[in-house]
Amino acid sequence: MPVNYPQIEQCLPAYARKEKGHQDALDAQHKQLWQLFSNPALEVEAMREKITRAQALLRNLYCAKPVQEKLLTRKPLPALPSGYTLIAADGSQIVPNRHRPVQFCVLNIGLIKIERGSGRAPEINVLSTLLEHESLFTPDGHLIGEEDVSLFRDLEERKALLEAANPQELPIITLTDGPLDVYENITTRRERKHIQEDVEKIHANLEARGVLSAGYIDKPGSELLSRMLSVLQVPDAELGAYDDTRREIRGISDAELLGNLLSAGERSAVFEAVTKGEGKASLSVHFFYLNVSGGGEPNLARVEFPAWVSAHARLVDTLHSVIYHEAMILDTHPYPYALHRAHELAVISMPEHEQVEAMLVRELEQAGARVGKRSNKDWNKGLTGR
Amino acid sequence: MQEETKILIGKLLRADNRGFVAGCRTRDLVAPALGALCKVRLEDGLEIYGLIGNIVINDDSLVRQLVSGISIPTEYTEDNRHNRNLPVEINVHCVGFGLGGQIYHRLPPRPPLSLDALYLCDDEELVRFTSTGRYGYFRHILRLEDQPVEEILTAHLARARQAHAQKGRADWYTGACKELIVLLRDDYEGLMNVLNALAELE
Repeated sequence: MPVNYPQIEQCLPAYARKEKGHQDALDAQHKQLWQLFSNPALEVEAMREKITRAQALLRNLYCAKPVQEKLLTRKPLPALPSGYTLIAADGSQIVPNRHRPVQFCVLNIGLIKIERGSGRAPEINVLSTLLEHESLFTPDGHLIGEEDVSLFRDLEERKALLEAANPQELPIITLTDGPLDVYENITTRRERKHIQEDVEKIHANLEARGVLSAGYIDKPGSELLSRMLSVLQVPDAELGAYDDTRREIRGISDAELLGNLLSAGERSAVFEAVTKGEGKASLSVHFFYLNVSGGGEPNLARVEFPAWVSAHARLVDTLHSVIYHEAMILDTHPYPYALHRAHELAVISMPEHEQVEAMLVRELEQAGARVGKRSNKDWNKGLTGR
Repeated sequence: MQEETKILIGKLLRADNRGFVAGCRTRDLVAPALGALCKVRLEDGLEIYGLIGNIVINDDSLVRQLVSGISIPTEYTEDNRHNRNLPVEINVHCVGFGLGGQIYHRLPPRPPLSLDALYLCDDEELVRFTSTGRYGYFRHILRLEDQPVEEILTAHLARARQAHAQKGRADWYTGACKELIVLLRDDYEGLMNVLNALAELE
């Protein structure tokens, strides 16, 4: 049976009216937020001090903190280095599923290494890992879920990048999709703590090699700047009682806020990502927003990188220009080409999923292990509908 | 022994008795050319010969997006040509087969199978195949519909003419032209198309 379209249709006018009202309210908030953001009285050092005090006082805090540049900074696109190596990794996974005959997890990492200026075809690789059996279950015996699998996958991505990033004279930039740091699943955070530690070690190693690692966030929805401005409005005496859930202006993303500020190719000021609380990141991350468009409609992406990079303006410029040009290879829908290719390499199709499962079933049978049954629910879902 | 000197140009995607389609990667697209004689050797020793009638470069949505870009750095072009799994399709028209050391200008008794290897024939084999009988394989090409028959023939004859000339058989090409005139005597338009195309070789 198809969707009952008449039922949906009769709800549409009211829905559209509410959406319009919501957008009007957001537009008003947008203006209000922009006034706060563009306030000439804001001093970078004073803002840093206040956010730092809030960090010390509050158990949970998730916002931006200016580093050095003024809030209204617009940096034009720097020149692209004549030669550099860009390595991107992206992962795909088979999440264990109790409805299948056997439970297993596969992590598939696509890796591409582009040596710009060489004229050569990039190196590509696919790294597939069958997750160790002992990692399949949580301490209380449940199968691990999406969040844990994502953590394992993120770690594998970063291991692959480290492996591929051999020190050389030319700059090396590594790129992953999404935030640079990995975030813990709160329910298994104790058991998975080592993953964050491993990721930290990898980043320390990359730093020692002088490798610029970056995370690319497409269509960012976070409100780090809005949260920052909200904290800055709180009187000093009340800072310890700040509650982000009572934030007045919400729903305006950083990308929306900066959309009219940044022209094509320009980046924003560099900010520090303040992430304090359970399951939050432990890596010190900085970021800027970048208008990855050729003009016309702004298209802002967030670029995250390790804090140490900010101390070297030349390296920030390198990230700025490399990532912009990489995304503009796909200029009708800008997104880093290398990340798209890494994703393309990593994707596990359903036939591949079933093939791995069949391989595992054969092996289990040979080993004399029991093989379960596919659930009736899963089996029936596979029926061809009319 | 001779097999090892042949150039592998692709592997079969699909086939029937009249022709087949082989796939190869773009980076391997150096040897195959329109009108070239190629063959597939089956496990039972049957060798199926064909002429390349069309080479298709496939695209996908990423390539289409890249095409719309102003400039693509070399490394990205190379990535799409060398790394991405977009096979070039080589359409081959069957023109004969070999069995037990003999060559026949008839359609093969059965088609090759998917993933069979497609090899380009060298000049020696080209001469051997085209010297057999009296140009009997021309009829397979002449009856093709919706194909640039005269272009396939011209490309083939140019190469075969050169190979025969190197063996001191300059008369082979003259005989081929006479045979085409005979075969197309009732098709004036077709004959003129072929002769006009062959005039390009002079």
